[in-house]
Amino acid sequence: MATRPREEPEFLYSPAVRVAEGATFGLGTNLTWDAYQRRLYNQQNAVFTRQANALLRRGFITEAETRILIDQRNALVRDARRPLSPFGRLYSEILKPTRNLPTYERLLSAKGTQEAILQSVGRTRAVVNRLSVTMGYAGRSMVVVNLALSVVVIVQASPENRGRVAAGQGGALAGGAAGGWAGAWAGCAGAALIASPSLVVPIIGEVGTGGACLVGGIVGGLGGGALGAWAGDRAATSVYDYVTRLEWRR
Amino acid sequence: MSLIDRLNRRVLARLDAARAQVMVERDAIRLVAPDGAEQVLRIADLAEAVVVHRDGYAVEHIVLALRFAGGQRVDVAQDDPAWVPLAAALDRSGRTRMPSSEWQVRSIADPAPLSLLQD
Repeated sequence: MATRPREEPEFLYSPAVRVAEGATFGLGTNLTWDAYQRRLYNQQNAVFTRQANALLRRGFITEAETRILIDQRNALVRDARRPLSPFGRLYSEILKPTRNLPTYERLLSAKGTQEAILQSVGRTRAVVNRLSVTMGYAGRSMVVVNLALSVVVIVQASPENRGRVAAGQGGALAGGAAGGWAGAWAGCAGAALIASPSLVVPIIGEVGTGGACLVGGIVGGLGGGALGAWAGDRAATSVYDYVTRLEWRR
Repeated sequence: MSLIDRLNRRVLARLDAARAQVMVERDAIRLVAPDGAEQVLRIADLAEAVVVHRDGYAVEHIVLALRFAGGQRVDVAQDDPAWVPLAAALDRSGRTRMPSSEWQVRSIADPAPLSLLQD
């Protein structure tokens, strides 16, 4: 007959910390990966900028050269989305410029002047720019903090339980990452579908599908990460117990 | 195509169902709404044409932002199938300050907004 020893917590930190740890690691890895892909794109796009400036300095530009440059840049834009996280791929597709927009009168009533409209047209979606940079730094911070916390927990565990704790922490990290990536995608998709074609929220105003996807992705990523970390911890610990702690009585 | 791509296509199909489709005819742009309603906007009625850069999270889109005399606004991204015929239509109209080969290259070289129409 196999018995299992009574489970006791090998380390003490509050449930809130455990939930936060799992929630942030999943989202953090997601954002960090996408921020890395954006840096790669920026480096590759800089090549096209240099090519374009070289053509302009030369003084004449043929249609064939323009066509090749445009096609190559379009290929970069298309290929840059492929290695993104599921959330990143969906969010970047949603952010593709819309084809038909609110009327000029509606925009004039919102912006006030024609100059303001032109400036808003020209602004490179500054909010998204800042968010991309912020999310990249936030993501890396979340990953580093969580890894450090896991290492501390493992090191602080008693020697006889260190293996079990390490297994649980590893499972929590893996489950948190998987749950966070899946939750971010599901949150983005769900929120964007709810917000489509336009959703007016009291006080906040009109919410576009892009904004809804971002908020939904963050919320979903945190929730999915927390759930995944909990499940991963339990699963990994159970597997460790099964493999190492069975006691057979004859 | 991966499972994620298939799922994303379904989500985007639902979202795009609310957007008008853009088709470029010889000297006009035809907008086809999801309910089938069509609107034809003549290039001659163009009040403003600006090439801008818009951030798309992982990439930066180069977009031709058009505003017509009736207030309609249409955006066409560089990787949109309508981009090439639209650039050709603008060339034929004779209303732009430079040929499309030049402004397309300028838009890649410099992210600042580029106004295309002659004053």
